[in-house]
Amino acid sequence: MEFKLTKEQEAIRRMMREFAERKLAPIAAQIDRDAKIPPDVYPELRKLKLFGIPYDKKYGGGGESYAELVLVIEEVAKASAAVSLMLAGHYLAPISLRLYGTEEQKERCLPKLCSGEGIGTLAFTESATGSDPEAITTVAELSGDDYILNGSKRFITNAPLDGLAIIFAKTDNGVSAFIVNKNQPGYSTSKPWEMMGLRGGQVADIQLNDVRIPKANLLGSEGKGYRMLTELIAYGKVNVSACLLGIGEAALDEAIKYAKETTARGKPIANFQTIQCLIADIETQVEAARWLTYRLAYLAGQGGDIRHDSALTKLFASEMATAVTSKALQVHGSYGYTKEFKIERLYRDARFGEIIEGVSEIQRVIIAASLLR
Amino acid sequence: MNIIVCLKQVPGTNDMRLDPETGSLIREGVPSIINPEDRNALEEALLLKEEHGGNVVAVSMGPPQAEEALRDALAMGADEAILLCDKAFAGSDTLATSFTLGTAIKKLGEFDLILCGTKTLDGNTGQVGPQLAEFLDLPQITYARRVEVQGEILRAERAFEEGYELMETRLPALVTVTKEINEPRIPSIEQIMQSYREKEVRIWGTPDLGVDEHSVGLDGSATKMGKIYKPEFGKGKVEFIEGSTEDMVQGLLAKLEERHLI
Repeated sequence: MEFKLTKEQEAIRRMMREFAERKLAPIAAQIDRDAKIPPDVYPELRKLKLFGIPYDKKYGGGGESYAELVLVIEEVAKASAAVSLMLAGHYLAPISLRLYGTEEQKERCLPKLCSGEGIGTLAFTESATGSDPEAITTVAELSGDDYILNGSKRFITNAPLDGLAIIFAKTDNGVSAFIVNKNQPGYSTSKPWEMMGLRGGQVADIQLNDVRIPKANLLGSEGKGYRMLTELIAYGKVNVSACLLGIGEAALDEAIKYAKETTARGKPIANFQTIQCLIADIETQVEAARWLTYRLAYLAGQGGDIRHDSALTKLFASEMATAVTSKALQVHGSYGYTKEFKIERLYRDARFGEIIEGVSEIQRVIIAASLLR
Repeated sequence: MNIIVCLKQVPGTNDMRLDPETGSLIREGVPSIINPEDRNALEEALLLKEEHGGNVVAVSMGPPQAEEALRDALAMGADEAILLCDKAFAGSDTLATSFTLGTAIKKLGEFDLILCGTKTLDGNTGQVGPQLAEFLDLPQITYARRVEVQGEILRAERAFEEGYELMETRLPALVTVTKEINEPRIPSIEQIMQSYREKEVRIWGTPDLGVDEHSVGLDGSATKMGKIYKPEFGKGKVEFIEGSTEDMVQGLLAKLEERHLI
């Protein structure tokens, strides 16, 4: 049983940490303030080939594993959770193709996603539901050799960014999944939602008005969409857990820094046991989340059904992020409640974790279901 | 152009902590990186190679884990990497270090340019580059913030406190660079993986260099470190010097002389 990174993985972490500190950290507050990732960030991410890490080289991917992907997202999230959300959301599209795409679909669609020239999106959630396939109202009607999609989706990450979307819609025999180019006629998006945290992540509604796509863009089989969704979302939780791990680590770093630099009665507040207890709790939880996340990345690379483990990991990582950012803010006292200190942004960013890709309650249902059946 | 870059693996922190018993740097738990100004030197070498063609060899003297720094250099684009690693090299001062590096460079054969960072995060002496140049009998330019090469001539802007000097030398030469010279590239994941899977780091010890063990390391050092310590800061006392401007200036000068600070 080994619990350490390989030398290559350490090198990747080293380089990603430098990139994040040099290129993302200096603009993270601006991204949060403006609720927008500057356009020149995307070419930097493309240059490092961060959009297709675990996918086959023949499709333009990096040919590496989920372990490397998780390390990348973790380091990005430490500097800017908004950029990590964009990456995590993007990866839902190529994973859908990898799991369910035909060879023709993979050859046609993966290269642009893996290069980052097209940003991926997964669209299931609607105004009435985030998890219930029965409540889906977007429809796909077969018309000759095409499907015509009509409906709307809500809170979709990366919806406005040019690229490819995997959209779930009702067909005659249930929910099905479709590959849709975001620049085609009939696809439009709302203004991005003004969010409490992860500001800069482009989360918007999608409107589909007679979006005509060829039958060749049906992903997997008709009516199997919900089953596909539960499986591919499990992979999405690998990346979300990595985002939350990065946020937790950033909170720990901020708490330690503040405790060492701030004095009371002539001594650093790090000398006070109340502060020590808070920081010890933060590190304990972050480390537990770390190894759950790395383990999940390992399992994802093995193939097989990871729904139970991904629910468990994402549940823990999300509640960890909420808890540790709160404790780290407590270490900062009143200053932590101001926008002058990074912890204020981390606290807001963390909260989304318990909602995105299935609320914590749904994760609990998933975990219990596999234990109690 | 054949360019050699000397680089060192150092603790990646500005918060250097010392073992109170041994006086040595605590490296455990501290991530290691390529010394920042050495990365600037490597980046400059890669830019010159892109402009003029040629080869870049990264050389480092250090313990086995310094191989990581050389792998990072290969990932950035260095063509070859050599680690000078031998227990006999331990305890080297800057003179012994420059002797060891210089001996390795002589073994490599002909070159046009040696680039180094001006100083390291841990030692901070700024001596190895100049000592290496003297050992190899090369012209040297230090604190270069800009470099250009045309044929056999190298021109550099050399920074000093009041501004900079324009220097020119014929190649081969040695130049030490500052961080102002460029922004080092960050390699992609693919380049990192290639550096580990497809490239070799050659490891040379004393037999490869053909040197006697007593001419390197602690035995080969002209200086020996007596003690490293962090000065204790006591509670300060504020003293006001009063009078006319002239009185205050003279009073301040007297106090500084008294404390041997000037």
